[in-house]
Amino acid sequence: MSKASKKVYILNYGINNIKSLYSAFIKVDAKPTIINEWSDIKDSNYLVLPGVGAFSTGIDNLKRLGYYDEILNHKMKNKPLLGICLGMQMLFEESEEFGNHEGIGLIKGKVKMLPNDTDMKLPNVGWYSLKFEKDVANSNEIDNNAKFYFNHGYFCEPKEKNIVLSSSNYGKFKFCSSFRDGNIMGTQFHPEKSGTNGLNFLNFFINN
Amino acid sequence: MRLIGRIDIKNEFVIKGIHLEGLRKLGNPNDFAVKYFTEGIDEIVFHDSVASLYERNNIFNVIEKACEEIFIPIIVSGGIRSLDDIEIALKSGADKVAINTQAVKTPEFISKAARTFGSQCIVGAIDCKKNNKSWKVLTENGRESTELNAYDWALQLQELGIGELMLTSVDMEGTKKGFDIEIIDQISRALKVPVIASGGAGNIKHIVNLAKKSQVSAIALACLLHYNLETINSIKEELNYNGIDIRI
Repeated sequence: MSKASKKVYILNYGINNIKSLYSAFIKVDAKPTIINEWSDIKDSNYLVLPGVGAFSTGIDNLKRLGYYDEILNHKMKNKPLLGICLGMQMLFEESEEFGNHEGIGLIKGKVKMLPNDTDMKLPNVGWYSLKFEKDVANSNEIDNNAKFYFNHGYFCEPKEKNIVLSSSNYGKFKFCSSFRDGNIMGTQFHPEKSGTNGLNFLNFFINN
Repeated sequence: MRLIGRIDIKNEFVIKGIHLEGLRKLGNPNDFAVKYFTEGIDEIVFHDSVASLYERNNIFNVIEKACEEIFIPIIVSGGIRSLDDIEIALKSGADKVAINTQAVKTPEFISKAARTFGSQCIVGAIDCKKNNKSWKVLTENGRESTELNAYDWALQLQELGIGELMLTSVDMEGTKKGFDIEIIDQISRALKVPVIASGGAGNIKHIVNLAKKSQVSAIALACLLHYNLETINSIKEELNYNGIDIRI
């Protein structure tokens, strides 16, 4: 019942497939709102930074819309923040996608390209399982064998390994597929595109 | 390996033909999509089969409804001609767009689209037909032939910045006689980006055989699912049994 009152603010910063994310939060009984201006955020319980597209374009859009500094300051406000895919990557200090670009820097570490010298296809598109590195409290609903949808060519390498929530494999190469640092979470996969397990993950985010 | 449900749409109805022709109305696209999602499909392609010919897009209402109930990736295909079309598709709820005709007309459209929206949402689409020993590219949903060689064009599309390639054999499409393994194998081995194979699946053996003999990352199914010839679960079980990594 209490879930119904959980307000989730989804940051719109240009071209995103925000609609699915919006529908996914409705599905888990949250109350999502799409935010087009930071001043629209009144009493947010949860903030979501979605992401599709190139790193530098994403950062430019965040700056242009005045979200950048607000996100940077968010850590102080003790409100949960979830970055998805590019949204996760932009929280890091820098990315090597199309040259070096500075990120928001809320999380220490870099965004790097997946190794391209393997016989794996690139970008990495498909359903992969998560190996939880941390004991995920109250996450009984997330099945250990569950697969999640990934579509990315770059991955996050956090400086502090203890924030890694789960890792996944690209062939033999292991990368951080989600992290949790205090009230900030990030997922390289798309929970809103990962069927029932993805919805369970969103449920986990708004209930922990 | 991903299994994709391919839903061809004409005037908001699901249709199916043979060799992309002789279309039959089958029902409401969303009913099909929700059913496949519930049964465990990994991705959905909505293909607007007339958009390219009549220069119109009526597929976006379908997508808007679909993404309220379907939490897997959605590809929109057919009639994508401009950056505006892509933006509308993504805003309607699509994750990726597949582009064929416009890429042939103006190849730089692909690089522009990839730079603007990211490669991950740009799927190159090739409809091909065997001609002696090579495969030629068809545009306008199979109605127009070109002199482009499918293998060379696939490599060029990769160069232009696509994130995936969807390869449809028009010879096999709708026949249920099996995939054109030869060209799928050639292209899926040559490309670094993932390849989605489409056209010809008539039974589970066809699917397992293709998965084993080529480097495809995904297989699109239409007839097999539309006519309830196989269940998604039984296909996945069989792939899994054959050692192919699939989401069950």
